[in-house]
Amino acid sequence: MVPVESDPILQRPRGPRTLIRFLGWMIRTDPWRAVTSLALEFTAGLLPAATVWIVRELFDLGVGVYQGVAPVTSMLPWLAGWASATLVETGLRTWSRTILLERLKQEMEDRLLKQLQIKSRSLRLDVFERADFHDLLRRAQVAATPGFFLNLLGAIYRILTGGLTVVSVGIVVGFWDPYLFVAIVLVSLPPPLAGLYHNVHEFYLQRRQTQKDRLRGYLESILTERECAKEVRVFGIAPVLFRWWDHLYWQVADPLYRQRRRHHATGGCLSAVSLFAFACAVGWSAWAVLAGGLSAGQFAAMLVALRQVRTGVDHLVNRMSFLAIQLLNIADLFIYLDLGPEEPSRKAAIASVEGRTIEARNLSFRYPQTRRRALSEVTLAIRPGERVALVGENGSGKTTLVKVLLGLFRPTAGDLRYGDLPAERTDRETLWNRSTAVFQDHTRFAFTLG
Amino acid sequence: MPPRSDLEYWSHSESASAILANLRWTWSHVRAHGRTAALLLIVVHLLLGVQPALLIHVTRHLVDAVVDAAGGGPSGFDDILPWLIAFGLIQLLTNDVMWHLRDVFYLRLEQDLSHVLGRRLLKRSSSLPLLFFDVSETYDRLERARDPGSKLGRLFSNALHFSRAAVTAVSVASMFAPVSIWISVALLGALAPLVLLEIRQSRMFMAFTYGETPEERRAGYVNRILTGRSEQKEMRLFGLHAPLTGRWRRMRQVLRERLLDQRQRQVLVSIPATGFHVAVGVGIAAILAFLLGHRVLTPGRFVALFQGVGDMLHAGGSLGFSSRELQTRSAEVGYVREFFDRPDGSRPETEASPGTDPTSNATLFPRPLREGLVVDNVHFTYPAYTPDEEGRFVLQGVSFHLQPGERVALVGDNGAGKSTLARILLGLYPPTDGRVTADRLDYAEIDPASLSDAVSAAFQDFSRFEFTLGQSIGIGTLGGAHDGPAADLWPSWLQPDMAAVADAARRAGVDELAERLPRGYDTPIGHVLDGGQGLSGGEWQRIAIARAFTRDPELLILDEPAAALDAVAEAALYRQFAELLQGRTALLISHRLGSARMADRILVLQQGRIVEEGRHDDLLAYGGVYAGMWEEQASWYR
Repeated sequence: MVPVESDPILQRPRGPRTLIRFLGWMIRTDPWRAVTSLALEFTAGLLPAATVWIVRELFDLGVGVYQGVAPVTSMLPWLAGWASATLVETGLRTWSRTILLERLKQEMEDRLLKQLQIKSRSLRLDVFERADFHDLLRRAQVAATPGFFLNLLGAIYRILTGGLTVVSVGIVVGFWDPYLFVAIVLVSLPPPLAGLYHNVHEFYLQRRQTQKDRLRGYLESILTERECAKEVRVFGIAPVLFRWWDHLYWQVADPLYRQRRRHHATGGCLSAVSLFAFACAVGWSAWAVLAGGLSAGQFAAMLVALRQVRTGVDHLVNRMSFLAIQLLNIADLFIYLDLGPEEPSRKAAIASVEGRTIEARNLSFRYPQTRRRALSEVTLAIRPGERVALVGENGSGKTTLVKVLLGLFRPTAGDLRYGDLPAERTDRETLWNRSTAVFQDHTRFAFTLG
Repeated sequence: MPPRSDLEYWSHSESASAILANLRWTWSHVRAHGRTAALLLIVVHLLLGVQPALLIHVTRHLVDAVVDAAGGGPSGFDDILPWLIAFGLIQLLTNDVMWHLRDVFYLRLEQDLSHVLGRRLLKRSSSLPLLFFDVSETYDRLERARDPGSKLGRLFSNALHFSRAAVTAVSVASMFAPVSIWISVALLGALAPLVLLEIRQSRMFMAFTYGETPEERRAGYVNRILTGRSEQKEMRLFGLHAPLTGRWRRMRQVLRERLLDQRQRQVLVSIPATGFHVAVGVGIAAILAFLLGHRVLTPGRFVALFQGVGDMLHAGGSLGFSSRELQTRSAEVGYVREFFDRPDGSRPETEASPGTDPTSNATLFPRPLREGLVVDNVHFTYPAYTPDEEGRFVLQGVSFHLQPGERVALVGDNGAGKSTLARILLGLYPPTDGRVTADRLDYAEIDPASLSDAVSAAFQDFSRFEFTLGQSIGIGTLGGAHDGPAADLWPSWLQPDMAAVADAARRAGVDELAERLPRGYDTPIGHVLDGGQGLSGGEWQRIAIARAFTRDPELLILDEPAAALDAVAEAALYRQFAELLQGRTALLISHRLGSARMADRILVLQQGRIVEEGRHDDLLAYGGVYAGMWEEQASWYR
């Protein structure tokens, strides 16, 4: 096995900690908008409880109106109250979820992209040679895709409002009859638990499958992408690759399906528990009306309340699964942002390298996560103005040596000096400004640099 | 180059008839490949659709029963109990319960569809002519059709959502009909502006949130350079970070302001529609209250219908959302259909399995070659160019004869048409005009499988095939009768012909690499498999050369295969060629003329025409194009 220095991917992600770090990051990004939108969502989350209260008055009055005890006009203020609660809720949501959130999302995207750019700039170049670097970067960039933050914030807010709705409605109903509060807790607890359990498991299942999944995707890309099209035809390999793809397909798909089914069986049972509590709550309320403890209006309002609670729970559960997955993505992002080692900051560098001899003594270099030394005890000196050609066979380390001499890679052993200065103490940026190189594996920049 | 715009993709507006056609097409596939899951999904959605109306009905009776029995003591409970049970049963039909069923059925349906359609897509794309891939316009069709199973699954599920919302809207509205048919009509009518608005907004939303305008693509491209892996060494050496970051920030600023402006306009537009909808709801609630006073309604009906107003608001939102989704999903399926249904010269799909003979009556490539290959007045132009423009012909009347066993070198400047000619000889491109024959048999008449068996090639822009070293070299021999250990990742038949691999590896100089790797030929190489070893450019190239030697071809083409090799290795490779080729016909394309010397004959290609032809010494004596190129290169080594 190749020795692996540290494997951040296998670290167990911690959801709550990531969430807190993310919220902190969000508030720091744009304090005013973040706090305002949180406050608006908070208010919106409490409105259903107010609605339940209003509806109770309405229904009580309604029964009175029907029985001829109260005039129809007495219902109108409460109707107006109901209408304004509905309007305020819609209005708050529109404002908070579109305009505020859009700006907040933009700020967050910008900040994240800047952070990623700075990270790429400050990471030492040999870190880019890690075998898992590509994976790490790809995962980190998921958060920067358009719509990611919008969906994530939407999920967090829905969970927040859903949770608040459940609690506040529970409290209102608890005022009428304490047992009803207990019933609401029993109604709302089981589904989120099932959802949370499921998502963590599915995530791990998918991660364990990455190799098969990757291979399947790679086979697909060979068969469909331009780059491989000519070899696929010349070597006639399509039929074999199909069969291979077929062989892998259900190996990836079946465990996922079985897992999902098992989860839903658990989830379904928990739902049944919740449903039983729901039926008990309605039965108990009806009983209380017969016994005279509750009014008929309270009973009807209880039906509305239970519905609100279930909608809240529904949001909570649906979004919770989504959030759980997205938080793992955010955790990946933080792993990348914490990745080291970085280039020393410019402040530590003191001197320019101009006009100095480049001296390497017993220089060795090993690519990260590999065992083989790409350079083994190289000693050489290049004087200012000297023209040196480096020749050697493929894979003999020519390019690596150039990259080390330029300070792009840090040697794993040995000594690199520019004149009398150790390489770490020189200003790399001037070194890079004063040197130039054309690489075999160059990048094509598709625009003019102005 | 920055990637193609997706704006068209997302803002694609679909007419109702196009959506219906796509739905019908989707349904035929869903019915064929996932019938059970699909039927179960339909049942689930129907139940979810009628649930609110059922609930209204039961709530009405439940509340009335409770009001009647209120304060009357426990004895009245028996009258309430049946309605209580009905109420509980209807709760079973709510989303948070049915979701557990829906999600399982949907996953299975999507997996089934992805399997069948993904397979079909792979089959089709690998049977398409190479030209399809080289022309952006046709290749984009394939790109857009990717992941067809999910696309169909999403459209189907969306249609179900839409139907569910429609069923809810109609059934809930009909619950108002006993009170007054006009209330039902008003409720349904109030949905219209909301749905229309949602549809209108969806296009803006999609285009701005997921779509990419050219500016966004440019900004995204700069960002990728700033963060990407392979760009970093140049970024540092050339100090590109600061200027690019500045450029990126300016681009973002413009984009942000435009997006925000768009959002604000969206909100302003939505205010009247939402206001109207709420006003209708409140008005109807007031009417219900009034009717209650006249004892037209019972309290139970009032409570139930009052909730019905809320259900209508909710159904309106769902209808709008799913109808806008329907448009985008339908567009996605449209791309899949376009790819599957459009004729584009692909070979008929056959279940040709490796090792079996192709259809017996097919014309086979003549083996061994007796008279050789004849290229007769071949013209070639890429379909994107109009052939009228004379200058756009990559090849303009190329003719020559390759004798069996002859080794011919093809030299010429960049862009002279060397690689195109190679692809025509490999049967990958059909000539636009003229023909290629093998022992007087036209390439066009030869069975493609037999043609591809008879040729082999190593390319300059080769593919890596990141499997195990043995599989990568012997990819052309996989699936023969060479059994090996089965693994989770591959069945036992997925073994290369190890004798051929070892032999080819030795000839191309990959055997040293195999000895150095921890598990020899079983070592994974590249990044796809776990524990894969990274290789250098030269090592990959040697693997590509070895790959060409694992077969037993009549014609071998080496299209600058040594570009990434060092000079010593290249010289060694070409010295071995006589042995390597073992009397096979070979076409050798090279930049370095030194390697052309060992060929039996040299063809000089210039601007799509063969301008000189002959042996090295004769061409030098002739003093033409070749002699000029030779002088130029030789001066480097003096």
